[in-house]
Parts: sequence; C-alpha cells; structure tokens
Amino acid sequence: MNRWVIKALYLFTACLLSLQAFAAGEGDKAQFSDYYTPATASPATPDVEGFIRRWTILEPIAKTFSSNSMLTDNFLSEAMAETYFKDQYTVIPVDGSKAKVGKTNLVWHSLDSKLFFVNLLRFAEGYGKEYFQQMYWAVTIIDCEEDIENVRLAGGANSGAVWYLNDKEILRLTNDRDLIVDDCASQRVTLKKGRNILRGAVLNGQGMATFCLRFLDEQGEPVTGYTISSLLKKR
Amino acid sequence: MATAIAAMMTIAASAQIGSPYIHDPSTVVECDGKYYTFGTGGGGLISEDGWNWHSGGVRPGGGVAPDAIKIGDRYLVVYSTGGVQGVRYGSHVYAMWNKTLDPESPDFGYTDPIDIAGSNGYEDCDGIDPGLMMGPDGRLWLVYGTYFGYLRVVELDPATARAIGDPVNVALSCEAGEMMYKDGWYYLLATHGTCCSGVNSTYEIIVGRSKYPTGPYYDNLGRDMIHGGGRLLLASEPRRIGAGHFGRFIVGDGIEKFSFHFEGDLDRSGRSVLAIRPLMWKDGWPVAGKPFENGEYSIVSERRGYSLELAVNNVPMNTGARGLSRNADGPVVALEDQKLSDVIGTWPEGNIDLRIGPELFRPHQAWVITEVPEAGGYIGGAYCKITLAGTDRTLTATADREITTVPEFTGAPEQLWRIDQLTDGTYRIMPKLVPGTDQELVLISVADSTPSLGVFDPDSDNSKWNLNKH
Repeated sequence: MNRWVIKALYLFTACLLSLQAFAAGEGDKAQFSDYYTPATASPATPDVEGFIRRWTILEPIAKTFSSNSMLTDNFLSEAMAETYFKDQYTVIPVDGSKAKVGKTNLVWHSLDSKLFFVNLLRFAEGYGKEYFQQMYWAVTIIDCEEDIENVRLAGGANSGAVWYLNDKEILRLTNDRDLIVDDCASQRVTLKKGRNILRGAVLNGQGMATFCLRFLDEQGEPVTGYTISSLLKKR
Repeated sequence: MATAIAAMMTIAASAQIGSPYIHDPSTVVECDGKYYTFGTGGGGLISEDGWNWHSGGVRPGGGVAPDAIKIGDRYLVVYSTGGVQGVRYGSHVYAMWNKTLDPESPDFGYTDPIDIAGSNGYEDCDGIDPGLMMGPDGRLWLVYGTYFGYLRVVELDPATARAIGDPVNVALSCEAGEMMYKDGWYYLLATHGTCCSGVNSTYEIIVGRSKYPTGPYYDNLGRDMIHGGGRLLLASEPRRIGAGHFGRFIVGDGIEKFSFHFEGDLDRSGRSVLAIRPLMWKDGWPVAGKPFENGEYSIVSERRGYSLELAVNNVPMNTGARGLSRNADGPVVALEDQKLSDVIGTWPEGNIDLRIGPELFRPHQAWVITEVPEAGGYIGGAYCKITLAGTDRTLTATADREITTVPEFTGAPEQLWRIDQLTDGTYRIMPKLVPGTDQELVLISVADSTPSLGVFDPDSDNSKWNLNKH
C-alpha cells in the first residue's frame, strides 16, 4: 500500500479516537462502586462458583519492571524476598490501618468484589493511586468448622502472583498471564478447622491488573463450606 | 482359509515362552489376572501382563479358529472342524465351557463339546471360524463361515450355547467373523484377502454395521456386506503383513483394544504373530490405532492445548528487537531453534517440578518417550520412560500424588509409564506405581497450567493428552 495512504489512514483513525475520547467525558469513567462494596462485619461466603470475593487490599507499591514477561520464577522469588512493610508475611490487617512502605503510608481497604475476580487497576484508580508497574498485596481470613482436606487453591491473575496459605507458599503464577479461571492450581492442601490466613501479592506491568481465586475439591468442584472475613474497626 | 492350515499349526502350539506365535487367535479374555487367547490347531497363549505372551493355554479338540467369551462366572470356548465325513465343506462348530482358563487351577476342566452350528458340505457356507458376541440385552450371538459362500449369524442360548432359531446369511465371501456392539449399532468384523501365505498374505479386516444383530450390515458407502461390502479397519503395518481375526477387548470406559494376528511378521521370520492395537471410534466407525513409537514428543493437554514443561525460568531467545514493524528492512534469515545448551545451565540440578504452558517448541517442553521392555508391560504395550530430550531427567510420580522430574532414570516403577490410546485418539498416561498407594492414578490437568495425578475420568479432558511427534 502507498506510504501516503497508510499515513492518511493513521491520521483518520487518530481523529476518530480523539473524537470518541472527547465524547466519552468524565461521566463515563469507571465508578469504584461498580466494582466494590465495603466489607461488612457479617462473615461472607464464597460465591456459588467458589470464588473468594472478600479481601483486604493494600494500596499498591510501585515496582519497576518493563514487561510482564519479566515475571519469571526467579523474578518473583526475588520480589517476594524483599521487605516492603513491617510484618508483611504475618500481619492480619484491619480495614483502614496503614503500612509504611519507604516514606509513604499506604492504607489497607477491606472490600467485597462485585465480580468473581478482583480488579486491582480499578482499586488503585479508585483511591487515586498509580496503577501500572505495581505490586498489590491482599489478605483474607478463612474460617472452617472442620478440616477440609485435599483441596487446591486455583486461580488466575494478570499477571504474576504468589499466594500463601497459613504462611506457606502454595501457588505461584509466573510469566505474562491473562485472567483465566483455574489457570493454575496448588498441590493438595488442607483448610484447617478454625482460622486460616490466605495472603499474596499480584504484580503487573502495563494494562489491566486482576486476580481470581477459589478452592477446588478432588473432583474439581468448587469448595464453598467456609466463611470469609476481614478485620474491621469497631464502628 | 483356516481349514487348509489346521495341520500346519502344530508348530505354533509349541511356540517358545515369550513368543506370541499364533494363527487365528480367539478374542483375548482375562481370567484371574492373566490373559488368554486360543488358536488354530489347539492350545493357546497366556500372558501375565497382556504384553509378554507365551504358550501354555489349553484347548482340546483341535480344529481351527476358536473364540472365547466370559459369561457370568464361566468361560465359553467355541472352535470348528472342517472336512467332516469326507465332505470338503462339511463343517461343525463346537462349544464347551470351563470355570477357568488357567490350566493350573483345580477348577480347570472343559465340559464335553457340543455341536452348535455348521454346514453340510453342499450348501453355500463353510461352517468354521466361529465368533461370539454378547449383546447389550443379554442375547448371545454366533457368526461363522468362510469365503465359500456366506457368513451366517445365529442366536445361542447363553446358558447352554445351543442354537436358538435358524441362521441368517449376513455377508458374502469373507471369513474370520466377529461381532461387537456400541451405541445402538451392531458391527460385523470379517476378513477379505488371502489367508495363510505368510508375508504374501493379503488378509485385511473389514467392518460393516447394522441396527440389528442379524443385519443387514452396510459399509460406509452403504454397500451391504452380503454384496461384498466392508470398510477397511486394518490391512498391514510396516514389516507386519496381513491382519485378520479381529477380537475386541474393553480395558475400561474410554479404553478399548483389539487383538488379531498378522499373517507374517518380517522381524520374526515371517511367522504369524498375535498383535494388540488401540481401538478408536470416529463418527460411529471403529478405527485402528497404531502401535506406539519411541520418539521425541510434545505432551499436550487436551484440556487447554498446552504442553507439559519443566517449571523453569523462561529464557528469552536473543534474536534482537522484533515486533510490529521494527527492523523490517533487514535481510530475512532463518534463525535456529533455542537449544538445550542455551538454557540447561539456568536450570536447578535437583528435582524440577512441572507446569503446562503454551507450546513454544523450547527445550524444556521436549520429551523423549522410550519403551523399557525389561520393565514389563500391559495389554497392548510396554512400559515407557519419559525423559526430557537430551537429558536423563525423568518424569516421576511422587508419594504426595503429584509429579516431578528427577535428574536420572533408575527404573523405579514410579518412573515407568503406561500409555494407552483412548477411543477418541487421545492418550491416557499412567504411572506403573504411585508410591504409598495402590490406587490407580493418571496424569491429569488440575488447572490449565498445572499437572498432577488423579483418578482417570474418560469423560473429562483433564485426563487426556495428545502426543505430538517432533
């Protein structure tokens, strides 16, 4: 195709996109309330498909990497070996509490996702934070009336992620991944009677940042027989 | 024709241990953990594992082309004799029962044979080569006949094996009949071509199907088998010539095999040998699977289409910046594949776990699957080792019902894999043993990107793999 024709097409396309952006305006911006509601004091349960929707999420931590393809096993190991805030592997954060990262105080937010997945980009955007090249920490509390054995934590993330159950790493998602239900799964684990803590971090370079998680039984069916909580300040 | 070689088959009856030499084998039957098939001339083969066969089966009566089936807690064995009373095509089919096929068992002992079908020598039928089938409704059927006229089907009393009603002509000019049923269709298997000429035989297995056990049986073109129709199932393989005497063996849901003989095996002096192959189904027709071949493969999940790989860091290929229209003006050259030597130094030395990832034809995704004959086998195959190409790193089942790779192959049973082609053409991959459990577990996808061990489910793509040869 003639080079001038190609340039003309580029110009025409750019004009169309500009007009569309102008027409969209502020009123069409994504609303935080489309994605989240505040967590309540009443314990939640997994949804009918087993997805865990209640999380306490820390405002994002800047992390420099050029591409999600850099999220190799080694990169994630090094990233997770770094200390970002005090007690990062043991804290059970209270909604509204803060973690000091460098010289910045970041806030933990306890939320229920309205979707089966957690949209971290909209989370960051909603609190006025940068959302590209970030690390997102998330924690949730799982209470079981009895041991639930031989289950697997299964999930997807955009893009890299590492998840820990009761302080032990059980699931790692490496490389440039898309949000796919049951993309990766842990080995068999036991959700013990009483309180279990599920925590992890998701890293994303450019573009959408998301994750979804659920437990599956030996037959691959969703596990739903437990409750999910966040620690809230007394109101 | 089977009758013509009855006398010659005394040689096969004395086959060496470990030798699958047989002619006109009956359908393979399992009895108390062993496998049995009987052949022309008397006697038969026994196998402990379905792979390594040796002589030792006992079938009195001589004659040709027997068949066998388990009914309840008894085994029914039929065979035929020809040339009765000096009439060339005067033939009889005899039936006898046994509580076991194991000649070492105290329960072993055949009932006296009874005459259940045949031909008088003057009609267009030669009443030999019997084949048995139990229908889905519990009705027992016998097919018999040769190239001399028609193949006939007659119903038998499953309690006595005596014929019920009159035989019906169902096919013309074929022999070695056998019937089977699947999903509302009755299938008639038979052979066309030249029998009994070793590697010069042209024996081939053909099939037609019908909604009724008494036919009419049509082939894929709609030709009636009584007009000579028949869809080819299998003729020959490289170095193995002349397939005949089909027998179906159902391993379990989703896994079927078929037994038969090759008239001549070029690797075994041109002798007639027992063979067992996967039986697949496509569009309502049986399809013959091929014998497994050693080689380099991608092991690709049916679930996602991803490839089994070592869980190691992705090592980018250093080809310079590419993408979109960058560097589009330079000369076009062929680049080398990523080589094992480019990446192996970045891998850990101990055990390395596994993932399933997008197929990139990289060294951490290439597997060599090799039979280990000394490790024994299973019905239709030998156990294999699965190693990463260019290394001795070996796929291994672990005591926590997961998989990993170990640096070296030791021959341990958790490093040996049974590979069965399923009826849909995909594969089940199963370790010989999972440490700490007697449970039979297979390689499964528990997530798109995560392999593990679990119970085989023939209806789930999680349990199925494709082996794509490089």
